[in-house]
Amino acid sequence: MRNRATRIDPTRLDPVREFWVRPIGHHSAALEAVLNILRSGPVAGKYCLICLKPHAQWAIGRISGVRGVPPARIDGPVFTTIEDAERHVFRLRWEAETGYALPHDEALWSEGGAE
Amino acid sequence: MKSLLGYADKISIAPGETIAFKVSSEDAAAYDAAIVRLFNADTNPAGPGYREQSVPDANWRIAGRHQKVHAGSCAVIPVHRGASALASFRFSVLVWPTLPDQMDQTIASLWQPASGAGFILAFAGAQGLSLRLGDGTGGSATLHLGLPVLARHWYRVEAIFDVETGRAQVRQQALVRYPGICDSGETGQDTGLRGLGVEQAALVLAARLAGAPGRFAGHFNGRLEAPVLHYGEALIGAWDFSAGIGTDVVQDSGPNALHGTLVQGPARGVAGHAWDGTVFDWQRATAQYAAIHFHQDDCEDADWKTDFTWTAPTDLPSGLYAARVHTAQDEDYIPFVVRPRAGGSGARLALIIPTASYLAYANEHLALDAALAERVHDHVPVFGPNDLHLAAHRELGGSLYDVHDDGSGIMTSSRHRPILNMRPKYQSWLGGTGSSLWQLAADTHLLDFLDANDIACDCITDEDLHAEGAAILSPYACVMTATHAEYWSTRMHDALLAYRDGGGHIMHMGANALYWRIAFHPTRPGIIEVRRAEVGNGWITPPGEAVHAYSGEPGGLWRRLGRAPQSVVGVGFVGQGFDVSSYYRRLPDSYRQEAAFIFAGVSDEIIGDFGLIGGGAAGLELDRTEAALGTPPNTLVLARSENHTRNYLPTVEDLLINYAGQAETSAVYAEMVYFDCAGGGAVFATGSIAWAGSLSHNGYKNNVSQITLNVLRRFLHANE
Repeated sequence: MRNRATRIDPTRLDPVREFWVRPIGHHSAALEAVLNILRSGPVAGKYCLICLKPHAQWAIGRISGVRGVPPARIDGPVFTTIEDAERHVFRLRWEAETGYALPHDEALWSEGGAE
Repeated sequence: MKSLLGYADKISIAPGETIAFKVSSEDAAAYDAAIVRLFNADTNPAGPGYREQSVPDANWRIAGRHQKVHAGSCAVIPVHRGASALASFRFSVLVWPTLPDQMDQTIASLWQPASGAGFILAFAGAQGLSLRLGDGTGGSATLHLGLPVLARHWYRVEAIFDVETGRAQVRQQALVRYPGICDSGETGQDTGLRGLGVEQAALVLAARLAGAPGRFAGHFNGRLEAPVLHYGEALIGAWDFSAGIGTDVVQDSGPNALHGTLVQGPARGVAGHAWDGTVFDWQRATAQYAAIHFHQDDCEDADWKTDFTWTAPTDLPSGLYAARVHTAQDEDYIPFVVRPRAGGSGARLALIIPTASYLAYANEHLALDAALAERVHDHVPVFGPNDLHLAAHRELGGSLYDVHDDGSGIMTSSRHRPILNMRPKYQSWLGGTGSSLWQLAADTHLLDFLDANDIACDCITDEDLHAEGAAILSPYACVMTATHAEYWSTRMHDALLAYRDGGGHIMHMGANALYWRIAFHPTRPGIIEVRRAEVGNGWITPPGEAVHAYSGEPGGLWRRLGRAPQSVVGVGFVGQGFDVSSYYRRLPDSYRQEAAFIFAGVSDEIIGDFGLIGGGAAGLELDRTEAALGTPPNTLVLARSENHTRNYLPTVEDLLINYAGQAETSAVYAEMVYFDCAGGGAVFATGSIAWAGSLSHNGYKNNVSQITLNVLRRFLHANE
């Protein structure tokens, strides 16, 4: 495995903008490469979504990795779309992986995505 | 967490038959119960809406009671029937532990918990092989051998007690030795005990009796083989697990015929210490398969008491029904099928409700246990209340995709327990975006569509098909398969083929069907077994264990067994992705005269670029033609899906070697096909699991529903 610190280039935000436009569905090779890393953590502590109200409300949780201990909700907002919850998990993982904070949502949206 | 859970004694009843419901209500709260007919189990507000209908005169107020699930398998042998009270004894057994570091791994016990009389032979974590003795009047002794125990290695272990001297011994002998690893030895102790005071207890293998009757504790994980019990010099029993593989009976080959019973379905037909790699079928050398694999989380039967029963009226229409139980806090649905009376109801269409495939996925924990799950569907897994409850209650057992606590694959699945993902309103991480439906809830889109078009349809389960064979299909002009009818017993497979070749018309409405062979339990309905053989999914079958214990048949993919799905319905599994679905583009065959009836009223080139399951009619799992695997040469390939995401990857059995860019260059798409059969019948196949989610689009008026209706009407009236 390559050095963890260099697995994702934190200065390259075009895959992030692409993700902001379309979190689920067609992804470019560049975004896929990022997602393959961000989605590949161990089960213990892995982020998940907890559906609070079907088709309406989701919160972020973490998987325990211990059989018999269910995923637990973490502090944070309640999302009204799955896509927003996906973006939030992406942000948490990106920051944990790269050590760099992502620009706020508006900045990621305003510069558009790579279609 | 859920506070109401239930299951039924049957999954299919005929009008006039009675079904018994078993419910656990947390805190014993009273609840309301009613029988409902399910038409659409999808709560997605973008769809036609959830729809159930109450059945008249079928609702009750039930005084609730809490019922628990006691998982963990063992063997119970009534030695007291043939022997005097336990005094001096010698017990030996071969053992292959899988979690030897875990405390309280009972190998064998003859123990009265109330009085503390008898013996318990166990692995006790760092203390190693341990023997606990009690005389029932407060006297007790415990020996610890303290030697390491290697997981997944065979040992012969022995426990000896001499009532005359009070001396006890334990012995552990590794069958494979490693330099520097000291895992064989023995120890002894003068216990001072002059009796063991047991009169009525059973010999329990892989667990010990707990306080309450019929309850066990200290379950063992791993394999046991050839237990032998002597009282003094007298042989009490020598149990031969190579006899009766496929049954719940543990046979005693000794003089007392003290046969025992298995509890919670441990695995049989598995390699024992003598398996030498020269045989791969337990029937050819049963002595090499003289082991039973016990698990602390085996759950074959929750064994709950019945809380209410219902007898279906004799004029009740066939369909998918459920007992709905609810309180102000929670609800549960216990689904079942009302099949038609013998000979059919007069309907010309039957839908096979794929209950065996529902069982295969019953209570699956993949998104919880498998780090790769999120990669497989390329979005963050979503857990609802039922998933969270399953995550907290592993005693409810897993699916055929999960592994036991000890890492071995779960090879059997039973409906004699609450199945929290076989529920209306349930959303599955496997169901893509949108409605996120998988199996039962997705299949109701077929029922909903048929009802919306006033087409009478009988429902038949896999269990009915297995029990009754092709005769149960013979009344129908057309038989429809559901969205993901993946698991088929040989008798089910034979029945569908016989129907097709006898002139029947098949509408194959899903994908990845006719894929895995299963075996049904030979005597107890509602329990299936899979041996995945050389193609894994979640786990892979250990060497030499690819033959079902229940049937003696080799397991694996039907494709590997010479009956590829392409040879039955024209298409077979090619790949999957679980993010978003796509659409089909028509192919030249769709414009041929023979296919004109299929596309009557459809002028579009693009089919199904809409839908509740991933937003398209082509998605989740996909099938296509393959001449080499038996697609009939007269097959019309009507349309092909395209523009799938990079998440749609080829199935593992097609990967004969890895190469860069494999995903991008593999042909993963759905094909919609039609072919006439020599017997006068015909087959139409959609090649996609997601198809059903597009039927209701635009008030049921769209090219997916039009194609479906066109084929259905032709098939229903073909033989008139």
